[in-house]
Amino acid sequence: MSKRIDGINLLVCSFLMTITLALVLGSLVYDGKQRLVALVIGLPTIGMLAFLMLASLTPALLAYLRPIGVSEDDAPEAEPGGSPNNLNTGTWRRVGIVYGWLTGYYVLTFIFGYYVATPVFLVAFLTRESGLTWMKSVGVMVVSLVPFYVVFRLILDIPLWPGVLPRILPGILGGGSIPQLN
Amino acid sequence: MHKVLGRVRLIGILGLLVVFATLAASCGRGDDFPDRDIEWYVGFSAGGGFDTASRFIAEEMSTDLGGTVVVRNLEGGGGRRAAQEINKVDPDGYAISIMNMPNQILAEKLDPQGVDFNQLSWLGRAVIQTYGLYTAANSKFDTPADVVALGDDVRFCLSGLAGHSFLVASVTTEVMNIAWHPVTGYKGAETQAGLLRGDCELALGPMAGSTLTAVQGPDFKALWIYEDERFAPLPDVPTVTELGFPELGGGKFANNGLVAAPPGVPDDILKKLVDSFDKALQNPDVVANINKKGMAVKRLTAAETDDVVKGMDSIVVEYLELVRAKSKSQ
Amino acid sequence: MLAGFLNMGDPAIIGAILLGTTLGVVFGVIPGLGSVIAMTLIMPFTFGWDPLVAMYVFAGIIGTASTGGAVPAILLNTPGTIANVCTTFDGFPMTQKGEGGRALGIAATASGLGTLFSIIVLAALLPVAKLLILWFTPPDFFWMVILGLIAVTFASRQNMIKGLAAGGVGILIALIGFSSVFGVRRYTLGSEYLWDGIEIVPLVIGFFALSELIVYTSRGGTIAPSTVKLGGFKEILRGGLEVFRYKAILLRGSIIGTVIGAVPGAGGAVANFLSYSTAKQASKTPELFGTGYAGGVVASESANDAKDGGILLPTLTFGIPGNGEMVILMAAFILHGIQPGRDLLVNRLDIVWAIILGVIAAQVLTTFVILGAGAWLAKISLVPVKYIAPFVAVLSFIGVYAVRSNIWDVALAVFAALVGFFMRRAGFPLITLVIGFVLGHLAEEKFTQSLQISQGDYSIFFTRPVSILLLIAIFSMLGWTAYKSIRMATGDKKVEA
Repeated sequence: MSKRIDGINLLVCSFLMTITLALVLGSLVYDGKQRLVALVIGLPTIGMLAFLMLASLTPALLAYLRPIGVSEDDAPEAEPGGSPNNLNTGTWRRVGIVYGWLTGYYVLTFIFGYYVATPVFLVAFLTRESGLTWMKSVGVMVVSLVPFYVVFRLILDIPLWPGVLPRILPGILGGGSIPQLN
Repeated sequence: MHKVLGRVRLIGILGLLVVFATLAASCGRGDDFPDRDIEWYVGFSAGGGFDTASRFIAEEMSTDLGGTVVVRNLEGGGGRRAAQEINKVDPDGYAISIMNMPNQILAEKLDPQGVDFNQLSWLGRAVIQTYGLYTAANSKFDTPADVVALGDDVRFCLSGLAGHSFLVASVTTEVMNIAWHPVTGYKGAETQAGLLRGDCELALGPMAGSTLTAVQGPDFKALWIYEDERFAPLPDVPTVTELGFPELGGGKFANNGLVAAPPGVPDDILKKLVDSFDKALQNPDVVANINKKGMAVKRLTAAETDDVVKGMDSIVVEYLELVRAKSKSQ
Repeated sequence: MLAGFLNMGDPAIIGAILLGTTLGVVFGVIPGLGSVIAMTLIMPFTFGWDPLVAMYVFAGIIGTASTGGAVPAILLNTPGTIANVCTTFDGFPMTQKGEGGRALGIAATASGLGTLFSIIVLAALLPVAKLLILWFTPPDFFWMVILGLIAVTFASRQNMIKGLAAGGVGILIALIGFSSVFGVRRYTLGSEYLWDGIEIVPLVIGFFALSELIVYTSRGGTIAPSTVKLGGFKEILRGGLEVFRYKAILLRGSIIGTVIGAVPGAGGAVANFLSYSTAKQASKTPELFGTGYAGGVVASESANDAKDGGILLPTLTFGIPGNGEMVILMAAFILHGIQPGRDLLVNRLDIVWAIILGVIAAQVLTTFVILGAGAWLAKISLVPVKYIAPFVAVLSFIGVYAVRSNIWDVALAVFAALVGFFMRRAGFPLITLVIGFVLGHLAEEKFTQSLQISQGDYSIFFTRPVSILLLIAIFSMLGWTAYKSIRMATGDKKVEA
């Protein structure tokens, strides 16, 4: 049986291989026991990922592993249209759009904080994606966010991220101190 | 035209949202400090000793200052995140932090992140926990002299190879000329379990909370404390000074919860904070509540706290290479 | 104990149980929040309360959070807590078939029975718990953790190499961060954010909640076919009673949950996973697991709630907290002037019974609430996903941020969503990566600790009775797996011939 190269499989294996190689090679700077686990676990993991990458290119290799339970489904056939449907998702374009919404919500939150980003995100999503009119979207947003605000902010006083802008409304908009990244 | 109107509506909504958010924000309190919440950072999760003490003091300070002092838990890096935060925020008096010292100094010296504790604006000491050495009741060590006289390699149950207990263990064994090695990964009550199981022979820790209760009970015994004077809850336990090791005494290894503001806070604002902090620590209810949690309150002025920090810094620097060498040899 | 039962008639205690139950369920249902955050938030409010009343609140939260977490796991393929991950494997396919209500009924009952079992075991073992805990040494913990890691191979039978590879990656990324055992930072590239390592909540939310959000939002429609007719309350009840058809799975899951719960650091995710994979391994029809099989939900939910009793054992007897929940409970003890250990067991048995009875009462209440509300909750499967998705996103983002108030955690979750989506698409089981992540760090710690105790002598791993028993269990598991695989392969060859 010949199968097309599964690019997604290859991509994921490459990504995991990059992480694994980085950690295994990085472990070499540490002393004895400090790198033991990295080597004991990392080297076989590299081997397995290398095999999987090869199998992505030559799926027939997998037939040799059927006795230990590895099925050829490990390298599912790539769909001609490129639609990732073994998870029953939409098209790649739709996947990209949804991920774009998530990323956009994060960026908005980072800049403007939760109290501004969340209402904007909800109204925008409900209008553009859910197909509600903007009035209905605002209404749904208010109805859902008011109890949330009362509970989280007023009762429990959980400090949500206010955004990186200069402090405009203390605790609500701006003034967030970015935690050190490096 | 339709699109333009739609965009205008969207901007209008956003504007309404901002107004809505404004209505929910704290009202302005006037021009005097403080005119908004003061944030008190705690570098550990809620519920711990320092966090609890901070909340008692913060509540009292809120009453005194007429503005809310809010405790914020900034966990991360074993307390380093709070230290880094207080080091970089604006020195306007609206942020203070409690720090576990000399633990934080040691962490900074081992892995520098640009925090100079001598530059922070110290308010004072919130709490102190006396440090002591203890063992299982049925251990081969009956008296401190047994430990000192020991020729064998003794095992200490410690949290890790870079913490306060490791520093104290390294210095103690160096001064007393004891051969030792650490068994790591023990925190809190796990240390007691480790001692009872025989994973190790000795342990170090603050004589407070569950550890104090344990050594006061039948299963454990404290062998000495790192002070010049006897510790009231453990009146029969000798001090290192009495045992002939005054260089280990004086409380220099005690766990101190010191409170600081960022470097460069204006003097008038700092004075308000210091006065309010000190007043809170003189409130008998606050002191009683903190005592109940197994910690002691021993006030220090801001200047005395500065000196204590400098002293701690010197001690850590003095023993830093010893700690590094011992840590590396494991 | 009698006094404990009588106390429960007190309106303040009833109120405390209701409050704890509500908080536990709500925080369990919302992905990322969970019992730790619920307990952390309520703790300052309990300042000045009667300690007994406060303990009923905490017990209520502990007893119900993972049951609440089963609801989104079943209806949205989004585990409410880490301990509900395996519930998605069979619970969600049931929802997709229009049997979400039945799955909720199964989960609610299995959870209740699992909790009851473990709490009874807890009460029975309390007098001898200290001896048991002292008996279990670091080398024994090490083999226990290895047993958990070996179980990864069972869960990945269909995609064994991918499962093992993902597990290996999970163990490796668990090594990132400051190691107190060695006193050094490793693999952080000088990053302060990575000082504490990768935080598990953003990882799990990204992998499961947000990647699933991408899947169903891009697809559109509803989770269950819009033509399906939901069964209503009768179906919920049917599910609840159905649990008794899987007595062996229920009992095994309860035992595994209780035992794993008692291992500090292992936690609900491991109990959940081990129970599921063991049930699958022992089953005559393992191919049914993952297709909407009731036994899968029973295995998962009985274990993750049974851990509650197990995890209280070292906490109450010794003050050793086994997970984040117990750390907060210990802090609550201190806050209310209670010392765990001897003092608690000798002088404050009322507190012990408050926790025991509180967990039972809260769990029973939650079971009935879910059974009662399940029919209504199951309707979520018929709501177009385009209306659900933004709220899941909002709650997930808040849940992730609430863990340690670090906005970069949310970025990590968004990144993990992308990675999780592609890994799932490529057939990598994410659960093995998560289990590797949870257990990897523990394995290294216990391994190093054991060698420090023995001063470098490796025989410490092979000379203790408990270690030997665990080694036998490990080899038995491996041998059984190999035997079954060879039998299957031989069987396939005969069929082909």
